[in-house]
Amino acid sequence: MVGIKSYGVYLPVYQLSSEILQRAWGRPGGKGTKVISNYDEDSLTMAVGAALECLEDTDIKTVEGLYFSSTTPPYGEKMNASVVATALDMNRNALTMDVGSSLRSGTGALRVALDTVSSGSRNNILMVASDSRLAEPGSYLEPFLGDGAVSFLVGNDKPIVDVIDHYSVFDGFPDVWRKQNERFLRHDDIRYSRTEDYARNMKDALEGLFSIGNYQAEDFSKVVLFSPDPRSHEFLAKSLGFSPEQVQDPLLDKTGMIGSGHALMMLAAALDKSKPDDLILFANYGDGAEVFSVRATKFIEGFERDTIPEIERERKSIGSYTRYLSFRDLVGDYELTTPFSAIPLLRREEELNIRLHGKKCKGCGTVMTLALKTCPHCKSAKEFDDVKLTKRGKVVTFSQEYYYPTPEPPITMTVIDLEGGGRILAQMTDAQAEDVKVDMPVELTFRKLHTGGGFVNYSWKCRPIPGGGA
Amino acid sequence: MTFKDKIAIIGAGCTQFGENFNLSYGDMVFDAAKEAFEDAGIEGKDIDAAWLGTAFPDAGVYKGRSGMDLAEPLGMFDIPITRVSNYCATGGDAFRNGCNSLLSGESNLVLALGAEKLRDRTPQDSIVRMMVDTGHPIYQKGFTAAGTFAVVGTRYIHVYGDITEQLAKISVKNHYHGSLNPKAHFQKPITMEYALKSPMVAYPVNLMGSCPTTDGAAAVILTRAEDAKKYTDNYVLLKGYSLSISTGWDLPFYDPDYDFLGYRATQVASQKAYKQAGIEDPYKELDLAEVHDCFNVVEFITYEDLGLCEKGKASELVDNEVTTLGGEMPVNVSGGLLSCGHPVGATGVRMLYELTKQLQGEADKRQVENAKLGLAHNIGGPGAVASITILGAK
Repeated sequence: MVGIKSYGVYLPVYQLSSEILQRAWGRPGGKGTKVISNYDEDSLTMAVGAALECLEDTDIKTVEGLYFSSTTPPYGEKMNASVVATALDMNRNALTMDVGSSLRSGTGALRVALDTVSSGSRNNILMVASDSRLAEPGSYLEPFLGDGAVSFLVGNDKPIVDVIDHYSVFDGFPDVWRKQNERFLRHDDIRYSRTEDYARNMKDALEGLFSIGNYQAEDFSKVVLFSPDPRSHEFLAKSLGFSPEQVQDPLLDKTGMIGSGHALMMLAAALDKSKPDDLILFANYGDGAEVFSVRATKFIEGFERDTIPEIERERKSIGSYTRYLSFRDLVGDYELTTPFSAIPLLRREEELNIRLHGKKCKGCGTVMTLALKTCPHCKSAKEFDDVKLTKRGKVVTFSQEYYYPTPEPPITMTVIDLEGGGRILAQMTDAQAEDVKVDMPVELTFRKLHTGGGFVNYSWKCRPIPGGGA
Repeated sequence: MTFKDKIAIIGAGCTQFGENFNLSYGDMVFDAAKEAFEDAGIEGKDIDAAWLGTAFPDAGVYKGRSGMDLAEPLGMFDIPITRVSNYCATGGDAFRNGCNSLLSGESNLVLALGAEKLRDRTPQDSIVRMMVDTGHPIYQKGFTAAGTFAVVGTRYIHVYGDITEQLAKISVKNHYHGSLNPKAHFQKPITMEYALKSPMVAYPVNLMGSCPTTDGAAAVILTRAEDAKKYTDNYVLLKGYSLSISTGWDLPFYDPDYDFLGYRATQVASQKAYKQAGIEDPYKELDLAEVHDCFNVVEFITYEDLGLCEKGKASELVDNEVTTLGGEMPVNVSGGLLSCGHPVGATGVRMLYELTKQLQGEADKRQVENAKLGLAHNIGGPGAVASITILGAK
């Protein structure tokens, strides 16, 4: 049966606390933790992070497609999925597709992935839902939005959950929306959208699913209901006869609402705790609603994911509201610079700089990480073997740049010896300057470097290994 | 082949180093050359070949891209003039090429001139911005010049222990020396406290450990040694020279062999030059050295690369004040790049100007007593290319 084989959640290291919002605006700044992306992250880079987490035990060469969903893709025209697929070093003949423009696009991408595999067209499809949505500073929505990405691998061989039934309804009138060329989300009358729009669409979809599967409320061990706020799902669950024990925490106070991946993150948290044969109801909302029933298989035993610890991990404060605005490029002038960037050059070196394939000298075994034709060690220019570089290493040396334009000085320029060979230079991110030490372990993380040429130049930076790892 | 004692410097000139807002690139070329011509007792029309060192012509109004930018301000036409560019070794390389022309017999009287106009800038432009806007879109993004050298300091500290105080002492020393040099950009001594507390530029290099952005030009007039007497009795002689490119622009940061504890380019170039000059113990035999202190950590590491002390022992030289004027091995008595500033193409020639004055006994308040043998060193790009020139008194 077609189902879900793996999943991964990526959440940035920073949080914008309610205290900072309260200080900025002089009124309550919401409750809980609002996880926000670093200045060098966007929905595309976070998608790479979630996909890498999802694919931890999977050979990328067995994955035959990538569907990327986001309401905030960095490119309006130019496929975003193909950049994610390149960073993941997927085969060139993999299917790639962008899905977007709705909070429901994450489950839409999942639905299409399931259908692709069901049709027999492909065996393994990866989907990622990722968002970094922006509320107008000071607006009602601002305290509620978080950033993050969630990835699911869909396949027909040994899935950890089988997907059984699906039902969806659409709605042409919005809850939240944003026109082309606007940066900030707009929203309708909140009371109306919660009590009418949300409740009606979710109920229609859930009742649709119940009728095709002849389900009773008590059939489900877990009920995952996306919620636009910390309470609305509770009223909905009660009206449908679910007990509070069945209902999955909407996680809004732990991360903020992370966009098109939010419902999928809730499902991942529920799957973290599931046992074989557990039946789970999963509903997403946005421009209508979409519902799945899934059943855990025996393969869920032994499938280890730390989604919940990741969601609950302590996050760094961004420090000030001004810094938050500068991370979102709403203040500051560092974008005044115009770095040189040439697409032919980036393309020529894609294999090395983005796919992370080095060359190993057949003469002396040195792993080369620059696009050179001569081995820097033995000076031979004969033959080289392709070698996939690893994403973990140790700091050889570094300097900290206080005057290079960035919203987050200093930039730590880091020389890294990778596990398995090869030395690279990379900026360090997600780190406090004073914590950087020679010999500390780091991992590579896909980030925005700059937008020279109006083109987003993505590459790998390094960061301290989350949760230590030392 | 040895070139020892075959080339003579018969005249030297140097502009004021600083923010020369009232001088154009051509004005500085003119002023440096004029002083050198007068010093040698010649006129521009006597010169039969010239080399112009400028590293970053794009920084300003495109001047310094070609030999014509030397010819035009001096009205020196119908002779071969070549522009040389080799990062911070540009000035030293212009001189080297001039020597080679004389040795080959192509020319008889050569002008080697370095000039750099760094302070004609688009609003909000800077050398930092140049690092942001140019170069490979990925490889060194995030680096300024300071950071590319600072990585050596970080590794050195990890292996040999803290050198914060020693780096500050180098800053204090060179600013003291600069206070004795009327052509230096900065001419005020600084205290240890001031040097230690100055803001960080690129850890472990702070502001007082960094050279400023400076305009300037310097020139020397060369001829074969046997002809020198025709012009002056007070000439100095070339004892040895060497230029070495020992890695690449990006390679140092991607080369698993590199230990980040020194610069091979300096090591190779200095050993070759010592051999030509017949120097066995540079610490004992050299009377002074002008070394490339673009950042204080580079002067520190260069002590070891030049063999003035053993590996890991540079702190001792600093702590014992050996490299201060009056010490056994004075380094950068001109004030170095930290005080003089670093108009890139001019710097190497400015060092030759300094050595010439010292060896002629004309260095005034900063004169090293009984100076007979001096060395000039440049390292650049960031540690790929080094130039060494050793000059001796007649």
